Amino acid sequence: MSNFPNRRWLVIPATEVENVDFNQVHENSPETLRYSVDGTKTFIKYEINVVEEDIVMTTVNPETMEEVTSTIPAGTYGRPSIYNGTLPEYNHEEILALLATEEWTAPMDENFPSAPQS
Amino acid sequence: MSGKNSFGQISTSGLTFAYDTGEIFNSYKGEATTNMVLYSEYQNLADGYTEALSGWDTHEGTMLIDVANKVPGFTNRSIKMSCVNANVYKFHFGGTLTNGQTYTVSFWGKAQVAGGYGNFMLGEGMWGNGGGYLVIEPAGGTNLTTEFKRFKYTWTHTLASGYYSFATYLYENGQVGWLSGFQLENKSQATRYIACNGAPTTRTSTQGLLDLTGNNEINIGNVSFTNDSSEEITFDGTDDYISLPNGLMQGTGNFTVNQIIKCDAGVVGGTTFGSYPSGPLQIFYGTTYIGMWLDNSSAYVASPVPFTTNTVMITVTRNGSVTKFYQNGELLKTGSASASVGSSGTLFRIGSNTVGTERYAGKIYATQVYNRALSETEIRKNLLQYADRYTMTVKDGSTSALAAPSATYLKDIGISKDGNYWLQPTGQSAFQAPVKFYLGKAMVCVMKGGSGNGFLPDSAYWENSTLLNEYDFTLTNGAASKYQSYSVVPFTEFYFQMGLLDYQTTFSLSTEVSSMLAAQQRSWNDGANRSIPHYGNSLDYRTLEGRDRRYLSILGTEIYLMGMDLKHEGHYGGGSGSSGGRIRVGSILDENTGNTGALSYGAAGSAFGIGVNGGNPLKSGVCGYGGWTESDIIGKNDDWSVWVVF
Repeated sequence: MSNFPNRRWLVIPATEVENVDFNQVHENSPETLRYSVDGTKTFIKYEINVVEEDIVMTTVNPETMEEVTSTIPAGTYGRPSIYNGTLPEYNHEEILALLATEEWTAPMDENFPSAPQS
Repeated sequence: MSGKNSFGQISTSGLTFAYDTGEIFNSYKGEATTNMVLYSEYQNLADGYTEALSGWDTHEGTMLIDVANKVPGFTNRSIKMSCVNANVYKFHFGGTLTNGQTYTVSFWGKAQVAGGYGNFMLGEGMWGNGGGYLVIEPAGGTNLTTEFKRFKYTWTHTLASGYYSFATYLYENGQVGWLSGFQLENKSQATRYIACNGAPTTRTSTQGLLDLTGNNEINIGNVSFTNDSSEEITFDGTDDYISLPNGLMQGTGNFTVNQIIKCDAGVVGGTTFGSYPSGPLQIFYGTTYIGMWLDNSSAYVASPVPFTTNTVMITVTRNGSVTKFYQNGELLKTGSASASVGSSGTLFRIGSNTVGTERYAGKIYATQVYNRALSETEIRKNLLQYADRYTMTVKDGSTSALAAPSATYLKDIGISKDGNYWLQPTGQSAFQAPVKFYLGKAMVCVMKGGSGNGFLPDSAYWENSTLLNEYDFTLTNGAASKYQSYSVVPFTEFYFQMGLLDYQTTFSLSTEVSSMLAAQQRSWNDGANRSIPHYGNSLDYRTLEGRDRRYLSILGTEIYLMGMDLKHEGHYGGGSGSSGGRIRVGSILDENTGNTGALSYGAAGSAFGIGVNGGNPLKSGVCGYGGWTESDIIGKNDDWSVWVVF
């Protein structure tokens, strides 16, 4: 079970960064984005709120207790405006798996000495 | 610098940077947010606020600011509501909402009687303008308890943009309830409360986590937060990190970095702190590597990796060129590195290296940086600050799985009761042995005996690793035992306990030996070292606190103390198999007795020892020297035990 069940990651071409509204995503600026090893891709993350079915709300006047109904349409809320349905969107497990590939992460051993010292 | 309780038990000398997410008054304030609540004049419930609650809708009841009832951990007071006439009692607050945006509203509530029923409603329009209210169920339920709990509700606003209000309700005649900390945020989860004061109030990304030393600015604008009651900082493993000031650490000096972490499963080697590759320092935790990397000279553990998803304290130190890595105060690796950590422009981060890879996933509850290398005792003192708070697994020696790395470790984590403990020195298997805490030191028993039972000077037990009665931990039953500690515990100091003697000092060796076994396996027959014990300190027994005054006159004026003598070497001539002793406390110079020839066991001298020459070496008081015998000493059969400080 992910610690971020409602969080989604959208992988976008680096060329699309200028079209990201950073008020709609967790990242603050292009400088805080993480890029693929070759620098051609990056991702943004945000929280979604899924309404599976139309929600019929019953409102009440607390003083008269009179009821009024209204409806919240089914849908997924919270996606940024750059989301268009064609860019790949990932959940937490999926993005971790993607980021573990060499496309996104250089082999760690390159940064470490060949053998630990005693 | 904050109040005296900010640091608890951690060492503060040389502390240059510190945050603690459990320290909500002085360090952790929470995620950057804006509390959008209007009616803010009614939000300020801080001490000293005296404004009347005019403007709140006090429908059939009373409402007061209650000084005594505060949300635990907060200074804000609460609003006390008393419901009458078995009807609704309410007050409301509001804010401006935008169509399509996600909001979270939160507050704390409690009731005088458990099970009290309250409710929470989202209004459709301006309060007082005839709008209806949607009855919603805040997360956590609406049944109030007698303890404050926080109610949260997140939704996406699908109605027209504009001002909306919220109301809380209490039902049932005579019910009393308290509410506090109203917050409305344009977020998908609640953050820690920030009080409003006349207008929507903002907490920036550099105001959410404060350096307890007051020296540095921390930016938490690029990290995640849990959606639970703790609203903790967490790293999702994709692009989260905490920004630290450039040049937080510089130069080639000594340092310590100490962190409390809880790593997620599957992390290979996440960066918990560092500057790499902006600078050469990187501390990491994961399934492949745990430890410190410093300019290609490292102190890290690669196999086997003691990875755990439990909360642990990791510590790295540099003292001179010696680097060390500890987990929960246990030294796991030693290395060497003299490189400079960086310069004033070196970028530092927590949770990621400075190029954005090697991401850490999980929690990093606290971090401390010192400009010196903490001692092991200080490191374990820091551990005590967090062990109970985070239910950390501390090796208290109670089971083989919790075998302590040393008796001193037990002492450092606050254990002071003598007894039998499980120990496991680095690289060794776990074993049990008596441990005692005496003279401000922690000591491990390596062998014991009594009632005439012990180890002859030439017993093979002295020079092999064979155990004897290793599960007999009773020190006063007269039975001889030799424990695993004899073979595997390194030491510099040892202590000799015999009968009623109560030496007030340990006996120091000039250099550390890898074990008592190694010490006893030395080459003998070194006649040149007569009367000069290889391991010992030449003290005058008459000055030794705890000496047995009955024998001072017997031992004469040339008494000196040999902490530990070696076979054959405490005696003039050092003849093969003829003299010397294993462990002695209180010896007599050969010359003083006029004996300068090679002697047999029965005619060589030391006193108060085991495995010594002269008389019956199995007896507690053993002495004997050329024609000198003292029945009061020779005839003793006291219990004895030998301990090493470890």
